Amino acid sequence: MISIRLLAPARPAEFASALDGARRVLVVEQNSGAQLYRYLRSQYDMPGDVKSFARPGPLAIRPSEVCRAITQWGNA
Amino acid sequence: MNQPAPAAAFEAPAAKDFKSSYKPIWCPGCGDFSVLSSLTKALATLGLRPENVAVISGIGCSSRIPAYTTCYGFHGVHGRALATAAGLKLARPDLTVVVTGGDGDGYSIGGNHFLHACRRNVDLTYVVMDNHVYGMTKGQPSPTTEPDWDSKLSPGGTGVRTFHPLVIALAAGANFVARAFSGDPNGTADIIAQAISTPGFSFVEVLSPCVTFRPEQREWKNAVRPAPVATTDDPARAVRRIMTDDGFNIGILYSGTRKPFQPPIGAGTATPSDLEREFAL
Repeated sequence: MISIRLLAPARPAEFASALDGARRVLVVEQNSGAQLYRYLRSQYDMPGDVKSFARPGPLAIRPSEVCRAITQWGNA
Repeated sequence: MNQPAPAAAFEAPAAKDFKSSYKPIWCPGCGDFSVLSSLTKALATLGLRPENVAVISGIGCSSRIPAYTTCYGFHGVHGRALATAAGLKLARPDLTVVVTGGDGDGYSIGGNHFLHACRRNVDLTYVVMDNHVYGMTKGQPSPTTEPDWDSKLSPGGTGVRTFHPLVIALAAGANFVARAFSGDPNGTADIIAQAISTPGFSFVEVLSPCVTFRPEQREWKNAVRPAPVATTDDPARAVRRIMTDDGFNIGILYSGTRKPFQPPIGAGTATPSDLEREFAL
């Protein structure tokens, strides 16, 4: 799991290093428009398949939701 | 994406061990560079380890500090840093929790949280970098801006009385109140270290010039002086002193003995599934 502490300035080298070897990337965020996903797409070259998991609040995203999204993606 | 140093490097933590690989992007001359150094020096002086410290912030230039440290951090919602930090400290009393932010974040958007954080007296240290302006959003007047500060965004000044954070903190129940100056990094580090060491809610207001939107604040270095009085544990005396000084007396102005608010933590037998059921619609 990668947690980005600051959105800007972008750090392509560190981001590429953190994602080295990844075949699938799931971008998890709590908003309706998938803002982080689009920002990352615009700033970084991400390896493999990249998918967004975004939904608005107020309820916090639960671990099982993320787990389910990963599992379903793996089974697809 | 901080790059933590190897564990061995933390055997005797130095200030540099608390600094992350992120390079701050504040304006050249910003006082916040110095406050970051003072904070990391204070943490090192206290013999803390980055993994035992959490730095929480809201939004603003100074609120970028958590990512510039190797500590746990949360760069949260505007004005809500104290609420987040209080929740963290109550759940994890073993952590040293430091809250950082600016005057707009802390006194305007987060003003209500500020009052009640002082009142609750949770064992937190709140470091506010006060530059009397909203710097990140290009120079709007903040709660501590002088009423006659004339600018493009406030022609003729706001005419509004300034917020007096130290007095309000005392009136609301803060257990430690100090004023520091970013141009005195060693003195600021000492004050932050003492703030962290003092149980309860510690409030440190750091005069930290915004040289971009308030270039006249470069003169603060000629105005500040050590407070000519000893630290008191009498809040009424501290309030009278602070109300009658010119805002440039530096030092620990009040240190009390109120017991911190720390309710016992439950047994914690709930599983993640149990918790999720509580939130189910």
